[in-house]
Amino acid sequence: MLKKLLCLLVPVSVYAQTDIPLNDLRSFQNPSATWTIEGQALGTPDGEALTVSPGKGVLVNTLKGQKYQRTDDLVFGFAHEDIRLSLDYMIPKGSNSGIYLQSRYEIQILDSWLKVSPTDGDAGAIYHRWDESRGIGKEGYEGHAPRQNAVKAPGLWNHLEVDFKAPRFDAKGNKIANARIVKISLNGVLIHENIELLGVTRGAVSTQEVAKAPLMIQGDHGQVAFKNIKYEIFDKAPVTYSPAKYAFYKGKFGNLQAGSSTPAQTGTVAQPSVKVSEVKADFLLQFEGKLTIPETDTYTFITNWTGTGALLIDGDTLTKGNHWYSEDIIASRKLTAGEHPYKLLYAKDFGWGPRGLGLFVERSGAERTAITERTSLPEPEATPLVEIKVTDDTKWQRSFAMYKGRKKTHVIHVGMPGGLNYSYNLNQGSFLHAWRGKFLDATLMWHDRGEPQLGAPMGVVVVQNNMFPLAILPDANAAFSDSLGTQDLQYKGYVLQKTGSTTFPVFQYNYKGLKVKDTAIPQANNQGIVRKITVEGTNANLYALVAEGEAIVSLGNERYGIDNQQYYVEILGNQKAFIRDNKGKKQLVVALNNASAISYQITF
Amino acid sequence: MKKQFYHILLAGLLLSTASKGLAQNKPKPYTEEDFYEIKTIAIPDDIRLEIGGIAPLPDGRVAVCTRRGEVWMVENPYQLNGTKPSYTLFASGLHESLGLAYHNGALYCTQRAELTKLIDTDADGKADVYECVATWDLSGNYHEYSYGPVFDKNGDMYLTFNVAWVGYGEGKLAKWRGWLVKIKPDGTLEPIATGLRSPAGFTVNSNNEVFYGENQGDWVGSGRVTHLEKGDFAGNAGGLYWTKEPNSPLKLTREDLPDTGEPMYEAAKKVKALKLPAVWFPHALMGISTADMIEDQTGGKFGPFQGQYIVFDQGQSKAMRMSLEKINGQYQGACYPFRDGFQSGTVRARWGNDGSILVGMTSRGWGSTGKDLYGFQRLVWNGRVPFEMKQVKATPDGFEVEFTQPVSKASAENWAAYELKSFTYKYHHQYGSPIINQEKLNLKGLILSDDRTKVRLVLDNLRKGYIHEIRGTGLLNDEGQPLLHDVAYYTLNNIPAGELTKGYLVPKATTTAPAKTTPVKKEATNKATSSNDLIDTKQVAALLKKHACTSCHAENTRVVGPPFVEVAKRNYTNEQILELVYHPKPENWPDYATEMASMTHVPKGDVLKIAAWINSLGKKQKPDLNKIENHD
Repeated sequence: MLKKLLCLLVPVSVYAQTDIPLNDLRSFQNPSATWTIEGQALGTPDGEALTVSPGKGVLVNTLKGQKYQRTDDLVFGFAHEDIRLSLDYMIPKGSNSGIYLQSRYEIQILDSWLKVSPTDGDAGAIYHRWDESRGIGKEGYEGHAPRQNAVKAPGLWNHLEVDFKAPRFDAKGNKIANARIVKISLNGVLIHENIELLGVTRGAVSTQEVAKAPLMIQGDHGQVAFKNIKYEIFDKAPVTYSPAKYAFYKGKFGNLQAGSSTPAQTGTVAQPSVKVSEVKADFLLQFEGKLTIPETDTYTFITNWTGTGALLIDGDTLTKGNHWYSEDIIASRKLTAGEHPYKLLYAKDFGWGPRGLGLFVERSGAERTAITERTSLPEPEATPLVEIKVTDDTKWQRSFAMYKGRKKTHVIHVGMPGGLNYSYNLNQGSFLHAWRGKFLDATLMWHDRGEPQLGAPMGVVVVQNNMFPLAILPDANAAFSDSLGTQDLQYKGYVLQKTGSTTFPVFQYNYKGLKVKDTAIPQANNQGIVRKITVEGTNANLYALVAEGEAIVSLGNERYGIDNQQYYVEILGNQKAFIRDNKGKKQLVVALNNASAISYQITF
Repeated sequence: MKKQFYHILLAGLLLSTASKGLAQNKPKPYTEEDFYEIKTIAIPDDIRLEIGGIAPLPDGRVAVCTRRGEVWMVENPYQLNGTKPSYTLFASGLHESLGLAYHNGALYCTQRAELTKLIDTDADGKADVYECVATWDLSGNYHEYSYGPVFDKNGDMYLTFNVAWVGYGEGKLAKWRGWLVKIKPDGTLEPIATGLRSPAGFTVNSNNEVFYGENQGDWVGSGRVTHLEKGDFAGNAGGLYWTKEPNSPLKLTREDLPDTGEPMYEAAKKVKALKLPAVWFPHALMGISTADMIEDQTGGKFGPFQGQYIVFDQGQSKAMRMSLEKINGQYQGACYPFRDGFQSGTVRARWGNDGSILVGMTSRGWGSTGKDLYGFQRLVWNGRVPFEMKQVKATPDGFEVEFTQPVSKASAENWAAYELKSFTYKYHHQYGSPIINQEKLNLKGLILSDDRTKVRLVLDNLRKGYIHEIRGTGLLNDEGQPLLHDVAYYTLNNIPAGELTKGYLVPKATTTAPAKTTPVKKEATNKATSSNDLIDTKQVAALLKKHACTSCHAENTRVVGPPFVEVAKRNYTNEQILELVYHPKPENWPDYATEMASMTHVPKGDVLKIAAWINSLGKKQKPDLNKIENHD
C-alpha cells in the first residue's frame, strides 16, 4: 500500500541558512585577542588544551597566556529576534563555554562527558537563572537539564541545533509572550522542546529582556572551537493571500481535469480546505486564489495530499503527482513582487486513508505561510513512545534498522549497562552504529502493526562502516569487500557470555573456513566500546579493517581521530595500525600477522 | 461461617435440581460453555504476552514466544492447585517471533529472518546459545511474516513465508516469499509449495501431511484450509516469481493464471498445479482470518471429535471445527462453528499435556472480537457431550450427517428442519470475493439410520467445487434440545463413486421447502420500509445471527466492525444501508482495521428488516440526563 512506503519518508526541512564566514573575525563585534581563526582544531579525551593549525574555517578561543575575562565574550555582528541556529563546537577536557541567545539566554557548553545524570549546569542545559535574594545555595532557579546527556568526549566535534522564539512586547514595551526554546538538539538527540523562558539566565548581559539583540558566545571560561555556524532569522515579509474560489466535482478525476463536468458545489473560502465538502472519496477539488509576493525573491512551495494533486503558479505546474499527505512535495520558484494567481487541485479516487490537502510557502528569512486552512491536513496521531530500557544487565533486540538512509533487515541492537550501545548487522558481522545514551526506540516496531519494524537509537550516534572487519588479502593495499555473500561468510548465531555479572553476546561466524568470534564490551569507565575479534586458526594474510572515514588523524599512542574528530579509535594490545587510501576514503588497517585476535576501542 | 456456606451450597443444589426438573418440560438451550470451558492462564501484570508461538514441554511447563521477541517459560499453566502460574524469561530480543517448537530437548523459534535454536547450556533456566539454524532474505516489508517451525516425523521443520503487501501480495521482494519450505536440521532449505498469501497457521498431521490455513485477500475469495504437497500451488500469485529457481518443484508462472473471476474449481481445470482447498471457511459466516489448527489425537480427552481438527480464527477470537475425508485421493470436508468467546485474537494453538488446548492470542494492529490486546487461555472439555453434527460426509447423491447423539425421529423426518444451499467464490487478483452462484439445494429425500445418529440427505443438484451449506435448524435430540450449532459447510471437490441411495423418504409435494421463502421476502420488504411499523427485535436478532452480522457487529460495543448504534448515528435510510451492505465502503470507517465483505447473498428483505432495526436504535439514543449526572 502506498501508505506503508511513504510513512517512512522524513519531511525535508526547506529553510535556507546563512553561513557565518569564518575566514576572519569581521562577523563579530570587537573580538578580544583570545579569539582567532584557524584551519583545524584537534584534541584528545584527556588533553586539557586543543591543538590548532593555521588556516580558515574554525573559530577558536585559546587562552594564549592571558586570564579569561568578561570582555572575552564574543558578540555577533547582527541582532536577532526569532532564530534557528546550528553549529559545531569542540572543547578540551574540563572546559566551559556557552551560547547566549540574544546575549541573555544561555545554552550551556561544558565538558560533561560521562556524567550519568546531567543537571541544569551541564552540556546542553538551558542554564539556570540567578537571584541572590533567594538566599545562599538557592540562587539558581528555573534552569532546564537536558533530557539526557548528549555530549561527546573532549576533543570531538559536537553538533548543536537551536530553534528559538524571541520574547514579544506590545507598543508600550510590556512583555506579552515569553521567549521560547522551540527545540534544541545536541549531536542529533532532542534534549529540549517547547520550553518557555520566564526571564534571562545567569550571566546575561542584562536582566532586561528585549525584542532584538545579538548572539553571544561565552569566552571567559575556557578553550572552545566552533565551525559551520549557520543561522536563519525572520526579518523579511512573508507571503500573504486573499480568499480562494473553489469548485467541487464528484467522480473519478485521476488526471485532475474537470473537463466539461459540472461542479456539485462552488464557493469562496478564506483558506482552501478539504473540509469544504464531506465527501471522502471520488472527487476533484479546485481552488483558485491569489498570493501577494512581498518582494522579488525565491519562494519555496510545500504541498501535501493523499491521492493526486497539483499546484500551479501563474499557470505553470510546480508540484504534481500521487502522494500520501505526510510527504512534503517541494518546489521553488523565483517570483516578482506583486500578485500571482495560484491553482490548487486535489483528487482522491480511493476510499482508504484520510483526506488531506496542504499548501505552505516559505521564504528564506520569513515565517512560513500556511495557505490552506489548519484542519485541511489530518492531526498527527498521538502515538505513545515504546522504549526499551537497559537496567541492570545488557539488553539485545533484533529489528529492522535504517542505516545511511537504507533499511537493514538482519540487525541486532545491544544496549549495555553504563549507557553504551551498538547496532550490528548479523548478515555482514559488522557494526552499523555505536551510541551513547538511552537504548532503543521501538515505537515503529511495537506500536500498532509496527509496519516499519524499525528500532532506532535514542542517544548520540557515531556511524560505523557496515563492513566485516576481517579479510584475507594478497597484500596490504588490496581492498576489503563492501559486502560478503553467504559463500564467504556464514552467520552461526550468538552465545551469551558473562563478564562479571554482565551478559554480552558473542557473535559467531565462519569466514572462508576460519571460525570468528566478535564481541563488544564497555571500557571500564564507559569511555567507549571495546570490540574484540578472535579467530580460531591463523592466516598470514589476515587483515583487520578498524575504521573508515573521510579523514583519519593519528593522535599518537595508537589513538586516531576518525572522520574529522567524530570519534576516536584506539588499537589495544601491541598491534600497530596503518592508514591507507581506498576509493577516496581513508582506512585504518591492522595486519594480524598470524595473531589470533584484534581488539580496539571506539571512544566518543 | 462454615455452616452458612453449606446452607448456600445446599440451596444451590436444590435450585439446580429444580431447574433440571423444569428442563424436561421446556429445556433452556445449552450454550457452548456448557461443554467446552475457557480457562484463563493468568499473565503477570508487567508482561505483554503477545503470543506468536506455543511449545508445551513434556514436564508440564509451556514455553511461549511473543511478538515482542521474548520467550517465556510458564510453570503451572494448568493451575491445578488453583494457584497462579509462574513466568520465567527464557530468551529475549528476538524479532517478532511467530512460532515456537520443542524438539529433543531444545526450543526452536522462527524470527522474521531466522530459524533459531535456543539452548540453555548452563542449566540456569535461560537460553545462552541463540544458534542460527537457517536465515533468509527479507525486503523490509512488514507483511513478510515468517511462521513455524512445525516438525514432521523425520525431524525436519516446515516454515511458511508470508508475501509482502504493496497494495497486493508480492512475493518477489525476497526469496521464497509465499512459500511453504522445509528446513533440515543442518539448515538446508527445500521449497515445497507456493501460492501462500498469509499462512499464519499450519500443521503436520498424524499422517505426516501438511495442512495450512489461508486468509481472505488477493486471489483468495475466503478463508480456507488446503492440503499442501510438493509442487502444489495454493492460489495466490505472489510466490510464483520464484518458480524460475532451479530447485523450484513447479514451473508455473503468473501468466499461466486465468484472472477471470470464475470459481477456483474452474480455474483449477486449466491450471494443473492449482490446489483446491480441502475446506473453505466462508468469510464472516465462519471466520474472517484463519489462524492455527491442530488435529485431535487426544483419544477422547477432548470430546467426541477424535481425528478432526480445531481451527482458530484470529479476527473473531474463536475456535472452529473441521472434518476431513479423502475422496478420489484428495482431501475434502466440512467446517462447523465450535467455540466463541476467547479474550483476544486467537493466533496460536497447541495441545496441552492434559488434552486441553492452549490458545495464544494477540490483536495489536489487527483487531479482534476478543477485546484484550493479548491473552493466554485454555479450551477444556468438561466431559459433557454437546448435540452436534459430528461429521458431514459426501455420498454419491448427497451427504450423510452423523450426530453426536440420536436425533428425534420426528424432527429428523420433518422437511422444514433443513435449509440447504450451495455457493462459491471468485478466483481473481482482487481482494476477497462476494459469494457467487448461490443456489438452493433440492432435498429429494432422506433416510434416518436405525440408531438415529445418522441422516442421509439425497440431493439432486450437487455442484463440484462448491461449498454446500447444510443447516439443521429444526433438528432436536431426545431431550428436545436443538443442535448446539446448526450449520456445516462442506466443500465438495469430488463426489464419491458408489451406489445411489435407495428407499429414502420423499417429501409430500405440498410441503416442499424451497417455495417457502419468497412470499415472506416480499412481505418483509413492505413491512420494514414502512417506518411506522413495529420492529420485531427477536426476529432481527435471529437474522443478525443467521447472516453472521453478529460475528463482526454488536448493538452497543465495537467488535470487528462498528456498533449498530454508531451506524444509526449516520442517519442512512434503510435503502442506503442495504446498498452499503451489498457494496461496503470501508472508507466510511477509517478507524476499523478489517474491511467489511460484500454481503450480496443476504436477501434484500432481511437486510431491510435489519436496517429498520438499526435506525430504530438511533431514535433511542437520546441522552438520559439523569444517567449522565449520576455517572462516576
